[in-house]
Amino acid sequence: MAANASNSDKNLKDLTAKELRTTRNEMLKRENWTAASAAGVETFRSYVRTLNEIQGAVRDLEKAQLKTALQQVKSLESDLRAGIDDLIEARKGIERVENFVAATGKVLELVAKAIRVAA
Amino acid sequence: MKKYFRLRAILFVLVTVLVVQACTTAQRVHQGSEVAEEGIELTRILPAFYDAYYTSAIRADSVTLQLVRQEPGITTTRLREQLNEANTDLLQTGKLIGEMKDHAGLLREYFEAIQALTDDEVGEDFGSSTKQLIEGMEAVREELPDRVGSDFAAKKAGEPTGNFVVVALKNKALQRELELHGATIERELELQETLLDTIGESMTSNHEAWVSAGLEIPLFESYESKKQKLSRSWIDNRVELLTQPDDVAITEDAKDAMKGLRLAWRELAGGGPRKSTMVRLRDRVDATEKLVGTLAN
Repeated sequence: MAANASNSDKNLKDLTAKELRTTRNEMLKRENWTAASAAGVETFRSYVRTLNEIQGAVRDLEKAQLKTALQQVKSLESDLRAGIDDLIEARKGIERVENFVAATGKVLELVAKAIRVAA
Repeated sequence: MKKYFRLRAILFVLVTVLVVQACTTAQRVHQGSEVAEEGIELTRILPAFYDAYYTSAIRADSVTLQLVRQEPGITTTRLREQLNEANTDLLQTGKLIGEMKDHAGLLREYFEAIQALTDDEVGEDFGSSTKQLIEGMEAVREELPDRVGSDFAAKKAGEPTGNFVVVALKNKALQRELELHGATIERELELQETLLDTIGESMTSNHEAWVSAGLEIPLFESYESKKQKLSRSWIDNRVELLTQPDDVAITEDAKDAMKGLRLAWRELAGGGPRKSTMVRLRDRVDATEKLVGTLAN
């Protein structure tokens, strides 16, 4: 009840997600809930409606926060993909050099054998 | 004779410098692999963390709706509208969570690519390949009629030279990657840290809501109502109420782990992460991994 009253002057849209959640949790506290339900039909109705509006605002605001965060990280995705491609390419490059060195070694051994046979 | 000793001294200095350089380079590559390993682990946990957040949001919303349902004189139509509205909102949130999980998968792929490059298995045969190459060269030289010098040193140096070359190549590729995308990854980790902070705050609050409205209020209402006998589920609810995990600590661990990863990444770009940074990072990632399971339940 106390939290509800303290934010009653403020429009719900002006509250931050944190303020909204704090208000909701205050209203959900057993002592506040019990007091409201015992305070008469009109008071209780108003209390419940406010709680419902606050919960709706919490959902909206959290959704908006997630959306913003997602947009921010998604804007980095092309760089991430480019990085992955570069790293895969670099690994392949090392493997190519390795294979080339091994193959050259084998060829040289064969050349040596050929020279020996020719001599 | 004097010239010979001078030459040996110069060679000794050169070899020492090369060995030191090789050790430093190898250490950096190894550090890159370690940071990547923690990055993989943490990004693997992220989806479970997002799921836990989503579950906590649904729970908090449900217990609130459960109480809102008690509004005096509320019509069935209004109740249905309220539930539909809440479901639509939460389904949209769920979709965003799905996209966040996809993104975490991409970030994990990035760290896997770093690990695939810096891993010891990559180029592990390079040393023997180089040895083979040098032996091949020696074999050819031995067959030539006017061969000069000893082949012993060249043969012995083959394998270490190859190993050094592969580490140097890995280090060069890692350095290039850090220069190209290091700042982007740091920004990404910074955003993830902020997101975990936001989600963590919400989860803590959702947990409080769940405990108050989902457990405590029904528990007291049932207990205070003398009309009916207390059911078995009342005891179960009481056990649940009194054995709730410490959600605040769990979300702090996840945020700290992401912060640790960002710090280690930054230090890697600057030459190599400090030992203390890596120890703390490992500790935070392990703690998050252990507790995230508890959080999901």
